[in-house]
Amino acid sequence: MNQDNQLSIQIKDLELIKSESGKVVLNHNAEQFLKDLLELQTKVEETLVICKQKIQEAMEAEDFELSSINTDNLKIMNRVYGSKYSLDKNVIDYVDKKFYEPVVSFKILTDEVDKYIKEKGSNPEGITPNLRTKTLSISLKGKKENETI
Amino acid sequence: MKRFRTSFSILNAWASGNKEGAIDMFFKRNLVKTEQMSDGIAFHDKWATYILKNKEIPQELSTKPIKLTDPKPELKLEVDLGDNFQFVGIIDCLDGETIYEFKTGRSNSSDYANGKQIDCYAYLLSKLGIKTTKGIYLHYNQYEKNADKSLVYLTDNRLKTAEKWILDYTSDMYKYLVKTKQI
Repeated sequence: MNQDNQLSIQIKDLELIKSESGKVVLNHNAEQFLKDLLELQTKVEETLVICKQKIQEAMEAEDFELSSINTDNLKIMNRVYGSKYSLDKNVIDYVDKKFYEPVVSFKILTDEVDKYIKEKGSNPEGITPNLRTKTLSISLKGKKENETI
Repeated sequence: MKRFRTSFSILNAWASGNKEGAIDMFFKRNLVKTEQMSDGIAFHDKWATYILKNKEIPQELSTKPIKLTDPKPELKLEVDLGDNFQFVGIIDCLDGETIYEFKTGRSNSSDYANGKQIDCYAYLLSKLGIKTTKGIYLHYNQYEKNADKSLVYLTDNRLKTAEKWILDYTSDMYKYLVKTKQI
């Protein structure tokens, strides 16, 4: 599958990967399909990043105020998101209070809760354990952290 | 039988679940004109006059000049849909094969492009034998004094979807008003 700068996976290969990928747990030689899949994912993601850059350049060259393009199957958006302004908390004492309002946030002290549950055998009032599920990650060796799936 | 007459605004309210608002609009009752609505009407009047005089899109709506060849601002449509229904609408500007829809306020043009207004107008125009190929939502935020625009390609698929949307919701609303003895 992976020869002379070619990387291709057919749709039927994807079906095979789905059904066979569990075998890598008991036989490391079954890794090839997964390795190909991850390499393909990296290439596709790289290509999409470049496509987006090109589309953004083309949209802005056409008309800087063009915010979206809608086709039969695609909606391409080029607009700003998120907060319009940022607050520099380092100089908060000098910021006029009419421009912001404080927001209270709470952080669980896990060690204290663990200690309480161990001692009392029950949860502290108002605190319940979260149902956490395991997440599997696979990464190609030698790749950066953010290329993990 | 008198035709059951709806518009995009009425059907859009109906489709989004605001039945009361849609029925009020249909019967033209409890119509409250907000400051934003008055602003919008004033801008639309001003822009229609400007377009007729200058044959270009006003600069408030597009910093990049958009020249028009044969603009028809405030184009009123009345299209019969079968024997029982009629759909009416006013296109902000039709120029050749392009429909322009003007928006004011804070919502971005891409929010409007997620809707079906231009698609519905393109479908109605097609019923009148007028072909359109693209629609542009031009938005002017009068509070921040900036503009943005969104382009919609008016493909056969979009027109078919718009046709179904209009017929389904018109029929749905009509049946409801008959069932509740309001018409």
